[in-house]
Amino acid sequence: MENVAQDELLAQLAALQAENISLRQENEDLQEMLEAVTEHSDTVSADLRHQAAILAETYQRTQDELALARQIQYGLLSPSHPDWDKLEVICYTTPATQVGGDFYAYHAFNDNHLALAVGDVSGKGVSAALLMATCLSLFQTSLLYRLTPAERLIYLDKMLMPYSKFRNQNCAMSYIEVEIKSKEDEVNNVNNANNVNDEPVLFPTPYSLLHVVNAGCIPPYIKRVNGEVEQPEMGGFALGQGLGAIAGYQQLTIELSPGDMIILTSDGVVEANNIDGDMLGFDRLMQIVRDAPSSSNQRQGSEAVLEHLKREVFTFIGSAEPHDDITMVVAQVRGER
Amino acid sequence: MIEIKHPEYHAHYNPETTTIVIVGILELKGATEYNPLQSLLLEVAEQKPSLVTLDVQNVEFMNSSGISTLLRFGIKIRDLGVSRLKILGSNQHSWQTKSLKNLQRFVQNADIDIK
Repeated sequence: MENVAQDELLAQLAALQAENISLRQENEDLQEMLEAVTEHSDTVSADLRHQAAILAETYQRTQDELALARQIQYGLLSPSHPDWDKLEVICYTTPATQVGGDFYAYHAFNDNHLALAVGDVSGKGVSAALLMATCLSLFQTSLLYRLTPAERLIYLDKMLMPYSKFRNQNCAMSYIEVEIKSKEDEVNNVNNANNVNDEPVLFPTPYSLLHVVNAGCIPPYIKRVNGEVEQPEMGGFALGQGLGAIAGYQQLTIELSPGDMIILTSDGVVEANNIDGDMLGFDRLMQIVRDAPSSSNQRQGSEAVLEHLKREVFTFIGSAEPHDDITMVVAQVRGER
Repeated sequence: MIEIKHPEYHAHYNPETTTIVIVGILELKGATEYNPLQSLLLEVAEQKPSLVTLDVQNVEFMNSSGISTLLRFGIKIRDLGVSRLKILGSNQHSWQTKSLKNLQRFVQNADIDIK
């Protein structure tokens, strides 16, 4: 009996010793694992810090390059305030990101024949900015040719196609030309009228002619000197798709009086979103234009209207992230009534 | 062929070459999410091939739970005492250069080949 009990005790002791060895091994393994995992964590942390530093450096370099690109892009635009005697013009553009696809352009064929355009390349950022530079360059080249406004858009549609079509990009453009009529024109008109109708001479109110074409942009607002606002309903294919060259562009001619204003805007104004995701929309923009100061005082009249538009649009946007580039051009016909 | 397809990583074992290949980013949360990979590794160890090759050359990142999974695999290989372990790594991913050699804490004769 004693021998049996002793054997059992020895077996239990052996089992305990084996378990002890196993536990000791497990403990050693856990210690080793802990050290290995700690070492790995340190390595990974160091790697992550290194990667973060590289990322920060890359981000900064990208930002610096974009800031430079923004400067270059702004440098492509003409000054915001052309020095014209007969049309008071002020232009404004701001991109949603560092660089954008919006632009404005203007040109004086002569003192009495002036052109204004607002362009809006589809998309945002660098790709839009690159096409914007091309559009602007093509627009300026087109001014070397004697073309009607509608013919100019057709020319631009064709010329832009090689740069835009393969990436499915396009450029919406609202383009106007203003012909300022001189006193001599008015007298001639009156004399001609008298010759035909033999009516008594009535010296007419001076007027100008506004020629409007539109390639998928927002048609211009015309704010009369008495405060009334008109907006011609006209569409047209955006440039660079080859469709406008096929379908052509409608061209409207509207009479303007001194003090009348023309307001060109890009889509980004109408599509501006506020923090609740509401869009500014056409109705609000029309009301903003109606509420803009309409004064026959033509000294800085366009500037006051632009300030009003900017204030109202940016108050609406509030703290929301910019949704799109925003461009506005305001022109007011100068001259005595 | 034993195989795991996960959005972030793939792992498979080819019994003909007795090679386990893991590819991807191992950034799973905790031991539970590593269970499928742990099971694959332990199952291969249990098959006791004379040589097991673990190819992690294309594992871009591995977190602590991931390295623990590999270490447990090393312990299993050592405890079974049958298979030789060969590890293929890449110096393109710096965690491998430093952490793979820790498998030798458990499998001292493991052959670690970092290219």
